[in-house]
Amino acid sequence: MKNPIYTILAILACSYLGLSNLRGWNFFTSSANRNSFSSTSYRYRPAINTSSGSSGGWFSGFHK
Amino acid sequence: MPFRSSIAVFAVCEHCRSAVVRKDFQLETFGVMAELPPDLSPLQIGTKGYYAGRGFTLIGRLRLHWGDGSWSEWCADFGGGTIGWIGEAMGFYMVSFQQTAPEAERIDTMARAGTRLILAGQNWLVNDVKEARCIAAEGELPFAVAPNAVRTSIDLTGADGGFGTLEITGGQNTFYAGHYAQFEELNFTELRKVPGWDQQADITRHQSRAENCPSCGAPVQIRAEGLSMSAVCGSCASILDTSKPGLAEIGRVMETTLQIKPVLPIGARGLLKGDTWEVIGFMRRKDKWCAWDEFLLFNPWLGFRYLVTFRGHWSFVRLLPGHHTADRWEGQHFSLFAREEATTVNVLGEFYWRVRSGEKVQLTDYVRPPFVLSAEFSKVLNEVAWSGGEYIDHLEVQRAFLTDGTRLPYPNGRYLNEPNPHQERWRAMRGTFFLALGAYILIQLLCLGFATQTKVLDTANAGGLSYQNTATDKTIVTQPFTLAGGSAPLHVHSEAGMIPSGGYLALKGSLVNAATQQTTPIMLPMTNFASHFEEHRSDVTLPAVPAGKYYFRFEPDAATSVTNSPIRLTVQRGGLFWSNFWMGLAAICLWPVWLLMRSWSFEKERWMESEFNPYASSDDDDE
Repeated sequence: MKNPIYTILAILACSYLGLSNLRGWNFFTSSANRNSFSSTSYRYRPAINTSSGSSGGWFSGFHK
Repeated sequence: MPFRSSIAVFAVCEHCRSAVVRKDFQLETFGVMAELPPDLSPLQIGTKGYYAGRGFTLIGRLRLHWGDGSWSEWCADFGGGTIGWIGEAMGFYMVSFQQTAPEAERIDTMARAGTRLILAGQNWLVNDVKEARCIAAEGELPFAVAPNAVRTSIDLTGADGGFGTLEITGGQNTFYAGHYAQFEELNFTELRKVPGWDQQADITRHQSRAENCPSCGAPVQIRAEGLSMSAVCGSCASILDTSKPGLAEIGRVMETTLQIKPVLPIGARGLLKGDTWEVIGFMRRKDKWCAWDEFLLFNPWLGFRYLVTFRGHWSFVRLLPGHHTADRWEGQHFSLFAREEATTVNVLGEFYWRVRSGEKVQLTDYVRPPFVLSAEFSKVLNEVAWSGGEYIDHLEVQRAFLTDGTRLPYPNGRYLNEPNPHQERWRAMRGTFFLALGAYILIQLLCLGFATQTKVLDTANAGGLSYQNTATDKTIVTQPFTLAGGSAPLHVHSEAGMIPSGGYLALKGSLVNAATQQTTPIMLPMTNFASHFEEHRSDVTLPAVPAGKYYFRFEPDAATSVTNSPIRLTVQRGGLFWSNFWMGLAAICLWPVWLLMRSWSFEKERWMESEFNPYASSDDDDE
């Protein structure tokens, strides 16, 4: 084996792709969901209504 | 005087050097032949060999001398009345046989190097034209040779790299054709023991012969006796003729040359590439850009080689007799790198030609790292000489020739045939890379075929959902739904209606496993004031949700202006995340791409030294 490290990396990448596709894993875990909480560009409240300047954040409580 | 070969008509007595010609049963004296100058040739009368399926025995030799060198022609009896000739010059062997070529009669001594001739129906390139004199002979020959007989010799290279020579003697043209051969190809046996090199030789002298310089009287060591033509006296800078006894002075080099201390000492012997070589000469040459050093190496069986060094880089170079393709060598294409006039500025030691300080040649270099192919055209010698070299590690040279602990300078900058380490690494891994890439894409394509999405919940078909500002318990709970099979992503699409301008609505809550009450947090921000503030919908994907019965429970977060808003939730299961694919693809490609970028950068740096730089932009050209 000429490039053992690269070969191992390639095998790991292929294995991960196959498994993640089969199991529905996402490399970024629940980022799609998490981003919707914390993304500053995705504000569901107008800035004037956000006293802390945050859009809420992940489990930061309800903004009522 | 016995004639050992039936086809010989001429012989030289090994005792008194008398030349005799056999006529029927009579012997006639043909003068006295000069004694052969001593040399380090491993061949001798009686040496046997085997070439192209035929055995032969060397029965005689002619020693020919021309203005800038000398060579031996061995007469080989192949049996059955066949005579062949084995030329020995600079460690090369040319095996040839007389051919019938009527066209040869029309060719005169005015032929020029580089022109083409048709002989015996073949196309030949003229390599060099020289007038040679027979200075000595030994053994038996198939024709009579007068002492000091003069002939014009036109050396030719065939279209297939074959060797040819046209000899013009007293108006008679004789054409010989054959091939160049390496020492090992001729399968010699019964070789002469070479003094100073062969341990079994009857050593009558040390590895080199010392004579005194006629100019200053200092001893001058001759290391390639009989094969070298000139040597530089290390005391007075005289160039001496080593082809004849007496070492006549034939020129001078600059006095400053003697102050040069070559990095490899002249006389050093070492094992390089599996063979023993002795450093016998040193040259410093320059073109209009830079100067470089060349060391001449000698081995009696293999001839001469060069070690060329520039900025700590080294190339091991051999001459290529019979080379006939400008930019191809051993089936490989070479790229033109440099074309300059090179001048020899300093010389030290011993050479197989009459070296001159200030000698100029037109030098053309072609590269295919780690190899370099060079052509030297000399107007003075009317000769084109090809040579091929391979890059060699400076430590290998150091180990071979510097046994006293001296270190060679470390290579600096890029060199024309320096191997590109990044390219080598890329070549070593590209098979694995393409295999991995193919497998990786195949896995993704196969998964795409299976990763179809199926709808598992649509609240529009399950009673509907809505947000009521006036309700005491604003919690929204969906109908339960079942997820079958293994774990898979869950795609949740939500839409809200009737949200007034400036209002907002978000659903914060969880996906709840009805059996275990395990929750997965989820948020559906259906208003986006950052960009899509007119739309009230949200798409969220939950990864790897296992099979089971689930429902959503949300706590709405809405503006007070939102009083009643219908909500539609659509849930689909399946599909795959492309982010996984792109991440893995990046992992597979990162190292190869890095190597290719480094390789490109390396090549760009190398070619910056060239006038034929393929990386130069048109702007650079204009400058």
